[in-house]
Amino acid sequence: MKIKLLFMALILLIVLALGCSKDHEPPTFSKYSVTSKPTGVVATYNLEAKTVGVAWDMSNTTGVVDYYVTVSDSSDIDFGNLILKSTNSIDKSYSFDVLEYVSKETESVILYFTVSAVYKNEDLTFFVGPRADVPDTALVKID
Amino acid sequence: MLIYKEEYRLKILRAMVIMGLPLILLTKPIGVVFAQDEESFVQRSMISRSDAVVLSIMYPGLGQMTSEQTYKGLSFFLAETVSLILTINAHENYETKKKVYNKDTIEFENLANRGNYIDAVRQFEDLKDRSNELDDLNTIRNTALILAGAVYVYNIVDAVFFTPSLSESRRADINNSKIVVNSTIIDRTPGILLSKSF
Repeated sequence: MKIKLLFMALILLIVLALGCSKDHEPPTFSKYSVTSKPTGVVATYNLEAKTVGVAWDMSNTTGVVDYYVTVSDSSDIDFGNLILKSTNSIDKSYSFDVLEYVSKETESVILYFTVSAVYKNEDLTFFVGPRADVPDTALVKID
Repeated sequence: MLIYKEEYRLKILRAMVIMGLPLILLTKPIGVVFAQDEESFVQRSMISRSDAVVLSIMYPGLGQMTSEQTYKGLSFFLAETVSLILTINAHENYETKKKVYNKDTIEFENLANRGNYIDAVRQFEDLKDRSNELDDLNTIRNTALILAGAVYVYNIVDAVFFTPSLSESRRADINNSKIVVNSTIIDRTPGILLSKSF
């Protein structure tokens, strides 16, 4: 009887020990860390065409299939009136039509531009990479 | 809210089972004094060492408590109960949080498909914190479990080697016994009972 109880207690301890094993894995960021951010964003306003020409540099373009140009009227981009435009190309420049964003009645407004690359590779499918660290501004005057 | 209520109800139920079972077992072998007509005697309930071992195997401290080692038994009983409650509590927390963590990890992985870097960074930081929290819970759970196991094993060792046998206990009783004076009623007549164990 005692032997049986001792044996059962031993089995119980083993089962408990196995049941309490660590069975979660910490997250890994490696899939997303291959992305890189554009640099040197420059926005230039063309008064006659009412467009802002945005240009940027990108050192590593592996897996890049597109770029997103982000326009905002706030220096803290995410807190302003935000618009995202896909360039639909791998060119490092984009012409933004100002009248898509501001009305004709607006006298002037400062717009903030930043750029992100869009990736497609084995791990990522149209994943929007990190934004350029320093956005550029353009003073837009309609009249 | 409903899930939390259900969870607490389950925890209370488990605690009641853990606390209640040994108490039920304890109620039987406690010492009892009987007064019987003219042949009054003191009968003390005492169990053998092998019974004490079996009781200790069933739950730590029971064997000692029924072998006149009340404080030691109580210490084992409390240490085991606290360790088990800690283990169960940490285990429940771990399992609940792990489910949410696994679900969010899948969402994090799915960001690769049309997600964006900003959300990925935010979710990664959040998951990292929660992974550390799960590590802590796992450590608490395993430490409490090891403690419970250690108390259990030591309790059995104590019951096997250090619990006095019936004869030893009686001998000790005889050596230490003094004349006990009690007021009693025999045949509906009040009187004084002087007793001594030999």
